[in-house]
Amino acid sequence: MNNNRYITVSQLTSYIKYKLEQDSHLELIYLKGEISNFKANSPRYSSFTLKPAHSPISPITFATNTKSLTFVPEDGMKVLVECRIGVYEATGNYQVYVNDMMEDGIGNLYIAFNQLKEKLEKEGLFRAEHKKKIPKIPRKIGIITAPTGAAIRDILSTIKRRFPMCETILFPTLVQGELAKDDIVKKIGIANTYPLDVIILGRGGGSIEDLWPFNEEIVARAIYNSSIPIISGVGHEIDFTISDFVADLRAPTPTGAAEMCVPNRVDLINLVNQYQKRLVQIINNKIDNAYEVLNRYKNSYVLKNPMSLYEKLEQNFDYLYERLFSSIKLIINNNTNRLNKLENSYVFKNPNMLFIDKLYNYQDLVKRLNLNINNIIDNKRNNYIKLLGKLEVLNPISTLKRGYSITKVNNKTLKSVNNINIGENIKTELEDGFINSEIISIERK
Amino acid sequence: MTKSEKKIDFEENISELERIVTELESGNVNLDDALTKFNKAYQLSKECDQKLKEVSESVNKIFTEEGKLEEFHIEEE
Repeated sequence: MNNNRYITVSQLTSYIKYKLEQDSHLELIYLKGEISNFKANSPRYSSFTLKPAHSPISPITFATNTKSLTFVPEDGMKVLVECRIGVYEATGNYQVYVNDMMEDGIGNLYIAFNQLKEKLEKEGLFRAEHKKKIPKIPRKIGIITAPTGAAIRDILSTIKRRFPMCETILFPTLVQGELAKDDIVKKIGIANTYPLDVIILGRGGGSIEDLWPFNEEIVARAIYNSSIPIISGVGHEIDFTISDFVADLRAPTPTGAAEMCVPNRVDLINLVNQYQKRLVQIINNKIDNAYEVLNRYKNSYVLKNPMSLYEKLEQNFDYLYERLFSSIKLIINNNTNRLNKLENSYVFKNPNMLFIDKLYNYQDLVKRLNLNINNIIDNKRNNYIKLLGKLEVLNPISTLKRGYSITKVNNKTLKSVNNINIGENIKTELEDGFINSEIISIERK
Repeated sequence: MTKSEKKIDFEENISELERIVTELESGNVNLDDALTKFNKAYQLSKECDQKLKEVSESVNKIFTEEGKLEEFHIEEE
Protein backbone atom coordinates (compact mmCIF):
# COMPACT_ATOMS: atom_id res chain seq x y z
CA MET A 1 0.00 0.00 0.00
CA ASN A 2 2.87 2.31 0.84
CA ASN A 3 4.24 2.23 -2.70
CA ASN A 4 1.10 3.67 -4.25
CA ARG A 5 0.67 7.25 -5.21
CA TYR A 6 -1.67 9.03 -2.81
CA ILE A 7 -3.82 11.93 -3.76
CA THR A 8 -6.35 14.03 -1.91
CA VAL A 9 -10.11 13.94 -2.30
CA SER A 10 -10.08 17.36 -3.91
CA GLN A 11 -7.51 16.18 -6.40
CA LEU A 12 -9.76 13.25 -7.11
CA THR A 13 -12.71 15.61 -7.57
CA SER A 14 -10.67 17.81 -9.85
CA TYR A 15 -9.78 14.83 -11.93
CA ILE A 16 -13.40 13.68 -12.08
CA LYS A 17 -14.43 17.22 -13.08
CA TYR A 18 -11.81 17.30 -15.75
CA LYS A 19 -12.84 13.91 -17.06
CA LEU A 20 -16.53 14.67 -17.13
CA GLU A 21 -16.22 18.13 -18.64
CA GLN A 22 -13.82 16.91 -21.27
CA ASP A 23 -16.10 14.17 -22.48
CA SER A 24 -17.71 15.28 -25.73
CA HIS A 25 -20.74 13.10 -25.11
CA LEU A 26 -21.53 15.12 -22.04
CA GLU A 27 -21.31 18.51 -23.82
CA LEU A 28 -24.83 18.42 -25.17
CA ILE A 29 -27.52 16.21 -23.74
CA TYR A 30 -31.27 16.18 -24.14
CA LEU A 31 -33.30 15.12 -21.11
CA LYS A 32 -36.93 14.60 -20.45
CA GLY A 33 -38.57 14.62 -17.07
CA GLU A 34 -40.79 16.27 -14.52
CA ILE A 35 -39.67 19.34 -12.56
CA SER A 36 -39.47 19.12 -8.81
CA ASN A 37 -37.99 21.35 -6.12
CA PHE A 38 -37.95 24.32 -8.40
CA LYS A 39 -36.36 27.28 -6.66
CA ALA A 40 -35.70 30.68 -8.18
CA ASN A 41 -32.68 31.19 -5.97
CA SER A 42 -31.76 34.54 -7.43
CA PRO A 43 -32.87 36.66 -10.35
CA ARG A 44 -30.21 34.97 -12.37
CA TYR A 45 -29.99 31.48 -11.01
CA SER A 46 -32.69 28.87 -10.53
CA SER A 47 -32.35 25.24 -9.61
CA PHE A 48 -34.54 22.19 -9.73
CA THR A 49 -34.32 18.49 -10.11
CA LEU A 50 -35.82 16.25 -12.69
CA LYS A 51 -37.80 13.18 -11.83
CA PRO A 52 -37.37 10.27 -12.16
CA ALA A 53 -33.98 10.84 -10.61
CA HIS A 54 -31.17 8.63 -9.60
CA SER A 55 -31.67 9.20 -5.96
CA PRO A 56 -34.12 11.39 -4.16
CA ILE A 57 -31.67 11.84 -1.36
CA SER A 58 -28.92 13.62 -3.22
CA PRO A 59 -30.71 14.83 -6.26
CA ILE A 60 -28.84 15.99 -9.30
CA THR A 61 -29.21 19.70 -9.43
CA PHE A 62 -30.19 21.45 -12.59
CA ALA A 63 -29.04 25.00 -12.82
CA THR A 64 -30.50 27.40 -15.24
CA ASN A 65 -30.35 31.09 -16.09
CA THR A 66 -33.73 32.35 -14.86
CA LYS A 67 -33.79 35.15 -17.39
CA SER A 68 -33.53 32.84 -20.34
CA LEU A 69 -36.65 30.91 -19.35
CA THR A 70 -39.49 31.43 -21.76
CA PHE A 71 -42.05 30.14 -19.29
CA VAL A 72 -42.44 29.86 -15.54
CA PRO A 73 -41.37 26.42 -14.47
CA GLU A 74 -43.45 24.74 -11.84
CA ASP A 75 -43.10 21.59 -9.91
CA GLY A 76 -44.88 18.82 -11.68
CA MET A 77 -44.38 20.40 -15.11
CA LYS A 78 -43.11 18.01 -17.76
CA VAL A 79 -40.16 19.49 -19.56
CA LEU A 80 -37.68 18.90 -22.36
CA VAL A 81 -34.20 20.03 -21.40
CA GLU A 82 -31.11 20.76 -23.46
CA CYS A 83 -28.11 20.76 -21.16
CA ARG A 84 -24.48 20.00 -20.48
CA ILE A 85 -22.72 18.30 -17.59
CA GLY A 86 -20.40 19.94 -15.13
CA VAL A 87 -18.93 19.10 -11.76
CA TYR A 88 -19.48 21.31 -8.76
CA GLU A 89 -16.14 20.91 -7.08
CA ALA A 90 -17.22 21.98 -3.65
CA THR A 91 -19.58 19.09 -3.27
CA GLY A 92 -18.10 16.70 -5.78
CA ASN A 93 -21.53 16.31 -7.29
CA TYR A 94 -22.13 16.53 -10.95
CA GLN A 95 -24.48 19.23 -12.05
CA VAL A 96 -26.59 19.74 -15.07
CA TYR A 97 -26.37 23.18 -16.68
CA VAL A 98 -29.48 23.91 -18.68
CA ASN A 99 -29.06 25.68 -22.04
CA ASP A 100 -32.67 25.59 -23.04
CA MET A 101 -35.86 24.22 -21.66
CA MET A 102 -39.39 23.97 -22.83
CA GLU A 103 -42.60 22.38 -21.71
CA ASP A 104 -43.08 18.91 -22.99
CA GLY A 105 -46.66 19.23 -24.19
CA ILE A 106 -45.58 22.48 -25.78
CA GLY A 107 -43.51 20.66 -28.34
CA ASN A 108 -46.70 19.73 -30.11
CA LEU A 109 -47.84 23.30 -30.14
CA TYR A 110 -44.57 24.42 -31.67
CA ILE A 111 -44.89 21.82 -34.35
CA ALA A 112 -48.42 22.94 -35.13
CA PHE A 113 -47.23 26.54 -35.16
CA ASN A 114 -44.49 25.84 -37.67
CA GLN A 115 -46.73 23.75 -39.85
CA LEU A 116 -49.40 26.44 -40.06
CA LYS A 117 -46.78 29.13 -40.61
CA GLU A 118 -45.32 27.19 -43.53
CA LYS A 119 -48.70 26.49 -44.99
CA LEU A 120 -49.89 30.08 -44.87
CA GLU A 121 -46.57 31.38 -46.09
CA LYS A 122 -46.78 29.09 -49.11
CA GLU A 123 -50.24 30.45 -49.81
CA GLY A 124 -48.73 33.90 -49.80
CA LEU A 125 -50.64 35.31 -46.83
CA PHE A 126 -47.52 36.91 -45.43
CA ARG A 127 -46.42 38.57 -48.66
CA ALA A 128 -45.32 42.18 -48.34
CA GLU A 129 -47.20 43.24 -51.47
CA HIS A 130 -50.48 42.31 -49.83
CA LYS A 131 -49.90 44.38 -46.73
CA LYS A 132 -52.02 47.51 -46.64
CA LYS A 133 -50.51 50.85 -45.86
CA ILE A 134 -51.21 52.18 -42.40
CA PRO A 135 -52.44 55.79 -42.61
CA LYS A 136 -49.94 58.16 -41.07
CA ILE A 137 -52.55 60.20 -39.26
CA PRO A 138 -55.57 58.05 -38.46
CA ARG A 139 -58.63 59.69 -36.97
CA LYS A 140 -60.74 56.62 -36.18
CA ILE A 141 -59.06 53.63 -34.61
CA GLY A 142 -60.57 50.26 -33.87
CA ILE A 143 -59.16 48.22 -30.98
CA ILE A 144 -59.79 44.51 -30.64
CA THR A 145 -58.65 43.23 -27.26
CA ALA A 146 -59.92 42.37 -23.83
CA PRO A 147 -61.96 45.21 -22.24
CA THR A 148 -59.98 44.91 -19.05
CA GLY A 149 -56.35 44.42 -18.30
CA ALA A 150 -53.07 46.05 -19.08
CA ALA A 151 -53.35 45.83 -22.84
CA ILE A 152 -56.38 48.13 -23.35
CA ARG A 153 -55.15 50.44 -20.62
CA ASP A 154 -51.74 50.82 -22.20
CA ILE A 155 -53.17 51.26 -25.67
CA LEU A 156 -55.62 53.99 -24.66
CA SER A 157 -53.13 55.83 -22.50
CA THR A 158 -50.52 55.75 -25.26
CA ILE A 159 -52.99 57.13 -27.78
CA LYS A 160 -54.17 59.79 -25.36
CA ARG A 161 -50.59 60.80 -24.64
CA ARG A 162 -49.46 60.93 -28.22
CA PHE A 163 -52.44 61.93 -30.27
CA PRO A 164 -55.66 62.60 -28.40
CA MET A 165 -57.43 64.09 -31.38
CA CYS A 166 -58.78 60.82 -32.62
CA GLU A 167 -61.63 58.50 -31.82
CA THR A 168 -61.22 54.93 -30.66
CA ILE A 169 -63.79 52.14 -30.68
CA LEU A 170 -63.11 49.10 -28.59
CA PHE A 171 -64.48 45.80 -29.80
CA PRO A 172 -64.06 43.72 -26.65
CA THR A 173 -63.12 40.14 -27.23
CA LEU A 174 -61.90 37.03 -25.47
CA VAL A 175 -58.17 36.78 -25.84
CA GLN A 176 -57.48 33.28 -24.55
CA GLY A 177 -59.20 29.99 -24.27
CA GLU A 178 -61.06 27.85 -26.73
CA LEU A 179 -63.76 30.39 -27.53
CA ALA A 180 -61.31 33.21 -28.18
CA LYS A 181 -60.53 32.47 -31.81
CA ASP A 182 -64.16 32.63 -32.92
CA ASP A 183 -64.74 35.77 -30.90
CA ILE A 184 -61.71 37.47 -32.44
CA VAL A 185 -62.83 36.54 -35.94
CA LYS A 186 -66.31 37.86 -35.18
CA LYS A 187 -64.97 41.15 -33.85
CA ILE A 188 -62.70 41.66 -36.85
CA GLY A 189 -65.78 41.24 -39.01
CA ILE A 190 -67.82 43.76 -37.01
CA ALA A 191 -64.94 46.24 -36.96
CA ASN A 192 -64.79 46.11 -40.74
CA THR A 193 -68.33 47.46 -40.92
CA TYR A 194 -67.22 50.71 -39.35
CA PRO A 195 -65.39 53.48 -41.20
CA LEU A 196 -62.13 52.95 -39.33
CA ASP A 197 -58.71 54.02 -40.53
CA VAL A 198 -56.87 51.22 -38.75
CA ILE A 199 -57.41 48.38 -36.26
CA ILE A 200 -55.15 47.39 -33.39
CA LEU A 201 -55.35 43.73 -32.50
CA GLY A 202 -53.71 43.39 -29.13
CA ARG A 203 -53.15 41.16 -26.15
CA GLY A 204 -50.82 41.23 -23.18
CA GLY A 205 -48.02 38.79 -22.50
CA GLY A 206 -48.57 35.12 -21.75
CA SER A 207 -47.50 31.60 -22.44
CA ILE A 208 -47.67 30.03 -25.84
CA GLU A 209 -50.91 28.41 -24.78
CA ASP A 210 -52.30 31.78 -23.68
CA LEU A 211 -51.38 33.37 -26.97
CA TRP A 212 -52.61 30.38 -28.95
CA PRO A 213 -55.81 31.98 -30.30
CA PHE A 214 -53.58 34.35 -32.24
CA ASN A 215 -51.96 31.36 -33.95
CA GLU A 216 -55.25 29.92 -35.15
CA GLU A 217 -55.84 29.60 -38.87
CA ILE A 218 -59.30 31.23 -38.89
CA VAL A 219 -57.90 34.27 -37.07
CA ALA A 220 -55.04 34.54 -39.55
CA ARG A 221 -57.46 34.41 -42.48
CA ALA A 222 -59.77 36.95 -40.86
CA ILE A 223 -56.80 39.32 -40.49
CA TYR A 224 -55.77 38.67 -44.10
CA ASN A 225 -59.25 39.35 -45.42
CA SER A 226 -59.79 42.49 -43.40
CA SER A 227 -60.19 45.50 -45.66
CA ILE A 228 -59.09 47.80 -42.87
CA PRO A 229 -55.38 47.60 -42.09
CA ILE A 230 -54.54 45.72 -38.88
CA ILE A 231 -51.61 46.32 -36.54
CA SER A 232 -50.87 43.27 -34.44
CA GLY A 233 -49.45 43.82 -30.94
CA VAL A 234 -49.57 40.51 -29.16
CA GLY A 235 -47.59 39.42 -26.12
CA HIS A 236 -44.06 40.56 -25.37
CA GLU A 237 -41.30 41.64 -27.67
CA ILE A 238 -40.04 38.09 -28.13
CA ASP A 239 -43.44 36.61 -28.89
CA PHE A 240 -44.17 35.98 -32.51
CA THR A 241 -47.59 34.73 -33.45
CA ILE A 242 -49.10 33.88 -36.82
CA SER A 243 -51.21 37.02 -36.44
CA ASP A 244 -48.00 39.03 -36.35
CA PHE A 245 -46.90 37.58 -39.67
CA VAL A 246 -50.17 38.04 -41.49
CA ALA A 247 -51.02 41.47 -40.07
CA ASP A 248 -50.28 44.60 -42.09
CA LEU A 249 -47.87 45.71 -39.40
CA ARG A 250 -46.40 43.93 -36.39
CA ALA A 251 -45.76 45.68 -33.12
CA PRO A 252 -43.80 44.05 -30.29
CA THR A 253 -46.46 44.85 -27.68
CA PRO A 254 -49.90 46.48 -27.41
CA THR A 255 -48.23 49.71 -26.35
CA GLY A 256 -45.92 49.42 -29.33
CA ALA A 257 -48.96 48.95 -31.54
CA ALA A 258 -50.49 52.18 -30.28
CA GLU A 259 -47.17 53.99 -30.80
CA MET A 260 -46.93 52.77 -34.37
CA CYS A 261 -50.57 53.57 -34.93
CA VAL A 262 -50.69 57.26 -34.08
CA PRO A 263 -48.12 59.95 -34.58
CA ASN A 264 -46.86 61.99 -31.72
CA ARG A 265 -48.62 65.31 -31.58
CA VAL A 266 -45.49 67.07 -30.40
CA ASP A 267 -43.53 65.64 -33.33
CA LEU A 268 -46.19 66.84 -35.74
CA ILE A 269 -46.20 70.31 -34.23
CA ASN A 270 -42.44 70.42 -34.60
CA LEU A 271 -42.68 69.18 -38.14
CA VAL A 272 -45.20 71.84 -39.05
CA ASN A 273 -43.06 74.49 -37.39
CA GLN A 274 -40.08 73.25 -39.35
CA TYR A 275 -42.03 73.57 -42.54
CA GLN A 276 -43.05 77.06 -41.60
CA LYS A 277 -39.44 78.00 -40.95
CA ARG A 278 -38.35 76.50 -44.22
CA LEU A 279 -41.12 78.25 -46.09
CA VAL A 280 -40.21 81.60 -44.64
CA GLN A 281 -36.55 80.95 -45.34
CA ILE A 282 -37.22 79.97 -48.92
CA ILE A 283 -39.44 82.90 -49.64
CA ASN A 284 -37.04 85.34 -48.02
CA ASN A 285 -34.23 83.94 -50.08
CA LYS A 286 -36.28 84.23 -53.20
CA ILE A 287 -37.21 87.80 -52.43
CA ASP A 288 -33.62 88.70 -51.60
CA ASN A 289 -32.46 87.14 -54.82
CA ALA A 290 -35.13 88.99 -56.74
CA TYR A 291 -34.03 92.26 -55.15
CA GLU A 292 -30.46 91.52 -56.00
CA VAL A 293 -31.31 90.85 -59.59
CA LEU A 294 -33.47 93.96 -59.75
CA ASN A 295 -30.74 96.14 -58.31
CA ARG A 296 -28.22 94.70 -60.64
CA TYR A 297 -30.38 95.68 -63.54
CA LYS A 298 -31.28 99.03 -62.04
CA ASN A 299 -27.61 99.75 -61.66
CA SER A 300 -26.75 98.59 -65.07
CA TYR A 301 -24.97 101.08 -67.22
CA VAL A 302 -27.71 101.15 -69.77
CA LEU A 303 -30.51 101.95 -67.38
CA LYS A 304 -28.50 104.59 -65.58
CA ASN A 305 -27.40 106.18 -68.82
CA PRO A 306 -30.17 105.58 -71.24
CA MET A 307 -28.63 108.16 -73.55
CA SER A 308 -25.85 105.67 -74.01
CA LEU A 309 -28.23 103.83 -76.26
CA TYR A 310 -28.34 106.84 -78.50
CA GLU A 311 -24.65 107.53 -78.21
CA LYS A 312 -23.79 104.50 -80.11
CA LEU A 313 -26.29 105.29 -82.80
CA GLU A 314 -25.15 108.85 -82.96
CA GLN A 315 -21.59 107.74 -83.27
CA ASN A 316 -22.54 105.38 -85.98
CA PHE A 317 -24.41 108.07 -87.74
CA ASP A 318 -21.57 110.58 -87.49
CA TYR A 319 -19.16 108.02 -88.70
CA LEU A 320 -21.29 107.04 -91.64
CA TYR A 321 -22.03 110.65 -92.46
CA GLU A 322 -18.35 111.48 -92.53
CA ARG A 323 -17.60 108.55 -94.65
CA LEU A 324 -20.35 109.51 -97.00
CA PHE A 325 -19.15 113.08 -97.11
CA SER A 326 -15.55 112.26 -97.72
CA SER A 327 -16.50 109.65 -100.24
CA ILE A 328 -18.49 112.16 -102.22
CA LYS A 329 -15.72 114.72 -101.94
CA LEU A 330 -13.31 112.21 -103.20
CA ILE A 331 -15.50 111.36 -106.12
CA ILE A 332 -15.98 114.98 -106.98
CA ASN A 333 -12.26 115.65 -106.70
CA ASN A 334 -11.44 112.70 -108.79
CA ASN A 335 -13.84 113.73 -111.46
CA THR A 336 -12.70 117.33 -111.36
CA ASN A 337 -9.15 116.17 -111.77
CA ARG A 338 -10.09 114.02 -114.65
CA LEU A 339 -11.95 116.85 -116.21
CA ASN A 340 -9.02 119.18 -115.77
CA LYS A 341 -6.71 116.63 -117.15
CA LEU A 342 -8.89 116.24 -120.15
CA GLU A 343 -9.32 119.93 -120.63
CA ASN A 344 -5.63 120.44 -120.42
CA SER A 345 -4.78 117.61 -122.61
CA TYR A 346 -3.08 118.31 -125.89
CA VAL A 347 -5.77 116.68 -127.81
CA PHE A 348 -8.48 118.74 -126.16
CA LYS A 349 -6.61 121.87 -126.87
CA ASN A 350 -5.72 120.84 -130.40
CA PRO A 351 -8.63 118.94 -131.57
CA ASN A 352 -7.37 118.98 -135.16
CA MET A 353 -4.78 116.59 -133.81
CA LEU A 354 -7.43 114.01 -133.92
CA PHE A 355 -7.97 114.39 -137.62
CA ILE A 356 -4.70 115.96 -138.77
CA ASP A 357 -3.85 112.66 -140.21
CA LYS A 358 -7.09 112.54 -141.95
CA LEU A 359 -6.52 116.08 -143.10
CA TYR A 360 -3.19 115.17 -144.54
CA ASN A 361 -4.66 112.15 -145.97
CA TYR A 362 -7.43 114.13 -147.47
CA GLN A 363 -5.16 116.77 -148.86
CA ASP A 364 -2.97 114.13 -150.17
CA LEU A 365 -5.86 112.35 -151.73
CA VAL A 366 -7.15 115.59 -153.26
CA LYS A 367 -3.78 116.25 -154.73
CA ARG A 368 -3.54 112.84 -156.10
CA LEU A 369 -7.05 113.02 -157.29
CA ASN A 370 -6.36 116.23 -159.11
CA LEU A 371 -3.23 114.82 -160.47
CA ASN A 372 -4.93 111.73 -161.59
CA ILE A 373 -7.86 113.56 -163.03
CA ASN A 374 -5.57 115.84 -164.92
CA ASN A 375 -3.68 112.88 -166.13
CA ILE A 376 -6.78 111.17 -167.19
CA ILE A 377 -8.06 114.29 -168.88
CA ASP A 378 -4.74 114.79 -170.61
CA ASN A 379 -4.78 111.23 -171.68
CA LYS A 380 -8.22 111.49 -172.91
CA ARG A 381 -7.48 114.73 -174.69
CA ASN A 382 -4.52 113.25 -176.32
CA ASN A 383 -6.55 110.27 -177.25
CA TYR A 384 -9.18 112.51 -178.62
CA ILE A 385 -6.83 114.53 -180.57
CA LYS A 386 -5.32 111.39 -181.88
CA LEU A 387 -8.65 110.05 -182.73
CA LEU A 388 -9.64 113.33 -184.14
CA GLY A 389 -6.62 113.19 -186.36
CA LYS A 390 -7.46 109.72 -187.36
CA LEU A 391 -10.97 110.74 -187.88
CA GLU A 392 -9.80 113.66 -190.03
CA VAL A 393 -7.94 111.28 -192.09
CA LEU A 394 -10.80 108.92 -192.28
CA ASN A 395 -13.27 111.68 -192.93
CA PRO A 396 -14.64 111.18 -196.34
CA ILE A 397 -14.70 114.88 -196.78
CA SER A 398 -10.95 114.93 -196.30
CA THR A 399 -10.80 112.19 -198.80
CA LEU A 400 -12.86 114.30 -201.08
CA LYS A 401 -10.34 116.96 -200.54
CA ARG A 402 -7.75 114.69 -201.80
CA GLY A 403 -9.64 114.14 -205.01
CA TYR A 404 -11.63 111.19 -204.18
CA SER A 405 -15.40 111.13 -204.76
CA ILE A 406 -18.37 109.28 -203.40
CA THR A 407 -20.80 107.80 -205.84
CA LYS A 408 -24.32 107.03 -204.79
CA VAL A 409 -27.07 105.39 -206.63
CA ASN A 410 -30.49 105.85 -205.18
CA ASN A 411 -28.81 107.31 -202.15
CA LYS A 412 -26.93 104.12 -201.62
CA THR A 413 -23.17 104.30 -201.88
CA LEU A 414 -21.74 102.50 -204.83
CA LYS A 415 -18.93 100.19 -203.85
CA SER A 416 -18.82 97.76 -206.73
CA VAL A 417 -19.25 97.95 -210.55
CA ASN A 418 -21.46 95.00 -210.28
CA ASN A 419 -23.99 97.05 -208.52
CA ILE A 420 -24.60 99.32 -211.45
CA ASN A 421 -25.89 99.09 -214.92
CA ILE A 422 -25.48 101.07 -218.02
CA GLY A 423 -27.86 103.80 -218.31
CA GLU A 424 -28.44 104.26 -214.55
CA ASN A 425 -28.16 107.63 -213.03
CA ILE A 426 -25.57 108.18 -210.41
CA LYS A 427 -24.82 111.06 -208.13
CA THR A 428 -21.21 111.81 -207.45
CA GLU A 429 -20.12 113.94 -204.55
CA LEU A 430 -16.96 116.03 -204.94
CA GLU A 431 -15.43 118.27 -202.32
CA ASP A 432 -17.25 121.28 -203.48
CA GLY A 433 -20.42 119.81 -205.08
CA PHE A 434 -22.28 117.12 -206.87
CA ILE A 435 -22.17 115.60 -210.38
CA ASN A 436 -25.09 113.88 -211.88
CA SER A 437 -24.12 111.27 -214.50
CA GLU A 438 -25.33 108.58 -216.59
CA ILE A 439 -23.45 105.36 -217.04
CA ILE A 440 -22.17 104.91 -220.47
CA SER A 441 -19.91 102.03 -220.06
CA ILE A 442 -18.48 99.74 -217.34
CA GLU A 443 -14.96 98.50 -217.07
CA ARG A 444 -14.16 95.81 -214.73
CA LYS A 445 -10.78 95.58 -213.06
CA MET B 1 -69.09 64.17 -43.11
CA THR B 2 -66.95 66.18 -40.82
CA LYS B 3 -64.85 63.33 -39.49
CA SER B 4 -63.63 62.23 -42.85
CA GLU B 5 -63.27 65.83 -43.97
CA LYS B 6 -61.11 66.41 -40.94
CA LYS B 7 -59.07 63.39 -41.82
CA ILE B 8 -58.57 64.58 -45.37
CA ASP B 9 -57.61 67.99 -44.11
CA PHE B 10 -55.05 66.73 -41.71
CA GLU B 11 -53.04 64.05 -43.37
CA GLU B 12 -53.41 65.52 -46.82
CA ASN B 13 -52.61 68.97 -45.52
CA ILE B 14 -49.35 67.78 -44.11
CA SER B 15 -48.52 65.92 -47.32
CA GLU B 16 -49.41 68.95 -49.40
CA LEU B 17 -47.31 71.10 -47.09
CA GLU B 18 -44.33 68.82 -47.53
CA ARG B 19 -44.86 68.71 -51.27
CA ILE B 20 -44.94 72.48 -51.63
CA VAL B 21 -41.91 72.99 -49.41
CA THR B 22 -39.90 70.47 -51.41
CA GLU B 23 -41.00 72.05 -54.65
CA LEU B 24 -40.04 75.54 -53.48
CA GLU B 25 -36.70 74.30 -52.21
CA SER B 26 -35.91 72.82 -55.57
CA GLY B 27 -35.67 76.38 -56.80
CA ASN B 28 -37.46 75.91 -60.10
CA VAL B 29 -40.36 78.16 -59.18
CA ASN B 30 -40.63 81.71 -60.41
CA LEU B 31 -41.29 84.46 -57.94
CA ASP B 32 -45.02 84.91 -58.55
CA ASP B 33 -45.79 81.23 -58.26
CA ALA B 34 -43.50 80.99 -55.27
CA LEU B 35 -45.42 83.68 -53.45
CA THR B 36 -48.76 82.05 -54.20
CA LYS B 37 -47.54 78.65 -53.10
CA PHE B 38 -45.92 80.12 -50.05
CA ASN B 39 -49.18 81.68 -48.98
CA LYS B 40 -51.06 78.47 -49.51
CA ALA B 41 -48.51 76.41 -47.66
CA TYR B 42 -48.24 78.83 -44.78
CA GLN B 43 -52.00 78.80 -44.50
CA LEU B 44 -52.00 75.02 -44.39
CA SER B 45 -49.32 74.98 -41.77
CA LYS B 46 -51.26 77.38 -39.60
CA GLU B 47 -54.36 75.22 -39.90
CA CYS B 48 -52.44 72.10 -38.97
CA ASP B 49 -50.73 73.87 -36.12
CA GLN B 50 -54.05 75.09 -34.82
CA LYS B 51 -55.67 71.66 -35.00
CA LEU B 52 -52.73 70.05 -33.31
CA LYS B 53 -52.77 72.48 -30.47
CA GLU B 54 -56.47 72.06 -29.87
CA VAL B 55 -56.88 70.68 -26.44
CA SER B 56 -59.07 67.73 -27.05
CA GLU B 57 -59.94 64.73 -25.09
CA SER B 58 -59.67 61.53 -26.99
CA VAL B 59 -63.05 60.04 -27.64
CA ASN B 60 -63.20 56.42 -26.65
CA LYS B 61 -66.14 54.22 -27.47
CA ILE B 62 -66.97 50.60 -26.98
CA PHE B 63 -69.04 48.21 -29.04
CA THR B 64 -71.60 46.68 -26.77
CA GLU B 65 -73.22 43.29 -26.85
CA GLU B 66 -76.39 44.90 -28.10
CA GLY B 67 -74.50 46.10 -31.12
CA LYS B 68 -74.39 49.76 -30.12
CA LEU B 69 -71.58 52.19 -29.51
CA GLU B 70 -71.33 53.64 -26.07
CA GLU B 71 -68.84 55.82 -24.32
CA PHE B 72 -66.05 53.86 -22.80
CA HIS B 73 -64.02 54.72 -19.76
CA ILE B 74 -61.07 52.66 -18.83
CA GLU B 75 -61.26 51.24 -15.35
CA GLU B 76 -58.56 52.82 -13.31
CA GLU B 77 -56.12 50.42 -11.76
